[in-house]
Amino acid sequence: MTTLDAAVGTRWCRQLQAALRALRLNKHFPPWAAVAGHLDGVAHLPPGQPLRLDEATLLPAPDEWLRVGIDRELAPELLPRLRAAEAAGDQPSIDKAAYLRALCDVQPLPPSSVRTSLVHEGADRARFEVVVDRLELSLPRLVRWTFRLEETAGDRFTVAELAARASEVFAQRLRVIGTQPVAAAAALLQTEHGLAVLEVVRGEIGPARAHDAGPCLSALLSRASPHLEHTAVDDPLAEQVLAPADDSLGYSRLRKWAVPEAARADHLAWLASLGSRNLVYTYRS
Amino acid sequence: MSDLSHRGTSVAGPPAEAALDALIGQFSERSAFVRELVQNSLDAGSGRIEVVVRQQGPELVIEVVDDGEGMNREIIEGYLLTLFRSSKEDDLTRIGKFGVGFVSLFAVRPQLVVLDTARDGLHWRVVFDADHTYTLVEVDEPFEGTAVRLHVGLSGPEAAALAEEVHHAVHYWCRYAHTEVWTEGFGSEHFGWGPEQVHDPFTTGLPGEVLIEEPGLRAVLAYARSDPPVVGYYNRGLTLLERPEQAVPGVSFRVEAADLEHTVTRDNVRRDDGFRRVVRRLRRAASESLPSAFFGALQQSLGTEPDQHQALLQIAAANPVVRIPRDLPVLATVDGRALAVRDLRAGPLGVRSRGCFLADAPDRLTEAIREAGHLVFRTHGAEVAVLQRLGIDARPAHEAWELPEVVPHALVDAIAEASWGLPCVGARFVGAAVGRLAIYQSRPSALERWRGPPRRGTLVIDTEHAVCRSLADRRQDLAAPLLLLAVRRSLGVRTEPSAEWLRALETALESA
Repeated sequence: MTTLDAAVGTRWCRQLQAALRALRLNKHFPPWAAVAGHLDGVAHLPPGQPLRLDEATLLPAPDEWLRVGIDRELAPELLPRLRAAEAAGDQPSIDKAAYLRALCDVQPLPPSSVRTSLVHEGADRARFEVVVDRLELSLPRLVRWTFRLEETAGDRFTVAELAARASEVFAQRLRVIGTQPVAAAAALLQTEHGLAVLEVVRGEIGPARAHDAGPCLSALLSRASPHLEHTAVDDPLAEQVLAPADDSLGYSRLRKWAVPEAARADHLAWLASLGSRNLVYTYRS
Repeated sequence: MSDLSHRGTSVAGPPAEAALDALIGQFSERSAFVRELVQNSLDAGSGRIEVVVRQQGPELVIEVVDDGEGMNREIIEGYLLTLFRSSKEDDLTRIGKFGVGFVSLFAVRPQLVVLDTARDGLHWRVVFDADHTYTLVEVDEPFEGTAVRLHVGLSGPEAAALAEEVHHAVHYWCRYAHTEVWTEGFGSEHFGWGPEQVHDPFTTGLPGEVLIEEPGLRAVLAYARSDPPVVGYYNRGLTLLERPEQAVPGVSFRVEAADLEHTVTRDNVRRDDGFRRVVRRLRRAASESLPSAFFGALQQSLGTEPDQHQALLQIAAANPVVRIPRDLPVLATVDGRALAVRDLRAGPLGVRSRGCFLADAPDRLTEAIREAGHLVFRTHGAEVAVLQRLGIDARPAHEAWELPEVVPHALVDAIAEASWGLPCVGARFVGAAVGRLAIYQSRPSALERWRGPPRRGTLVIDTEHAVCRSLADRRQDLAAPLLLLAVRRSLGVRTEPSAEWLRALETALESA
């Protein structure tokens, strides 16, 4: 665990927010504005506490993400209790109340969400899209899975039925496949009774690399689909990329970065040394 | 660029070239392509879309850039470059359907159109010439998303006119879009804006509206101020149509629904089964949800949000489909009491018989009128419009009533004490008598209806009147009879003055 004192920690969070905006994240990633909103809460540190970072990802540690939701939920109950001490000029109470009030304006991310929609309803079968957002606290990592599924012949689902299946079955499955590459996830889900996988896309925010000018935040987009005719992999952080076991699946895994303007040259040199042509956006640190 | 380049004859193919020209000419506005490109960007799942217009030498360059999932070769060749074939035509999660939207950009007669798009690590460029022929090449340089650049041979005021059309179009079509849309115009002394985010809150802008959110549909409805009401149809926040229309009688709304689609010419909404489903849902919301939202807001705003309350009442008075519940206390009197429609007609006399009055603000007169059992509403309040709709006449209180406040005044006291045969008092006037030097009252200081001078009773002289004030600092033995003379003239009294009054005047004049 790495810790940053309050001022540096807050600045780190602000830089991560700027990087999130610069990363140009589309619908296949967790909603960047909502993540930036949650980071706003992380940036408001409890009085006297440093910011704890996860060493592997340089993102705020799991406790920091969790604290925002919990303290915000408790704030309406705690604030009235602090009022008298605040009025009496008790500085710790004033600081604590200011912290809680700041959190009241924050909209924390839900730990996970599942959204199901009907894409196409034909005479003999239907196609669905299932979008699963997960805050993987153990990593910590923010991930969005997008599954395009089709009913196999003989099985008919309604959106409501599929939504229920997505909530129950996929949520359970995703605990298992959450750490797998999309190709493995697609292969695992292919076995799901009554559904064929048309496409699995995983958008992931993080990890970040440290630079004197600020965090270099990455985002990874992976896609596995039988309609994808080639394999494209450019991920300098991947120690080993597993090729899809199923030959019928095409596979792509592309990482991109948002780095401080002052870090761009260094970062491009680092990528070049690894033979990577990752896209690099910049933000003002 | 790689050597995978492919030369196409036309986006339409030779036999369809004439049809393509006809189609391009059918778009209702030449800037309609802005909507089409933004729609494509939304369908591609973009998180941010930028519409940039810049003057670049002799060319106006219009660029729409997104960070969506881009297109692969199959989509480009199979759908983008094939008229009437859309990759999205059977996809309910996407807006575009016909496969004709992209050609709308040729309506501005660009000399060149460059489309860059990337997906899954492959990057493509399509270059369209003015004659609609195209070249497709694979690009080595990495990028993501899709960028479409139109190079139009315009400069100066002509370029500015098109630039402003694009600027207006972005706001009109995209202000409720479900993703960030930004626009900027620069590079010319004739135009320029932004960078600015294009975003408006999804609301009718009318008070007392109700929000309906359910799978596939989001709508805001409110009772309309105008007739026919202004309505708006949208698909995922993109404007399809906005105009006055009686789709739901008396109700303005904005509705976005996956069931709503443009006509091919983009100047209307398809009136199909999907449209009818949406309208049926809106009508149900208008009858089931809107009344409680509207009257809840009307009741809640009374006394707490005066401007909001007045706006709601104006609508209630003007909109024939709004029926104010008889027992809902939403009408504010000038002194702040809340009355229901039922209260206006209650009692054996009712307001129709007793009359109803108006005043700018509460004062001694309105208080007296209220104590006398009558109602007084604000002159400029929306309550007046409600009264009119109910067929209740209301007159200004200060024209209908007089209320003198008796005050001691030396000259008037002198007149009263003299034996001139006139009982009189001094008073400050409120109401219809204001501006008059004197009136008669049967009971001085009583609230009385103004019935016009002259009458019999006690003479009430306005101590604030200019004549009274000008005489106040003169010798009392002279000023008192002169005041009485002025009062007689103001009342139109033509009879001879009394002998006592004449003697008093003579005495005063002799000693002067």
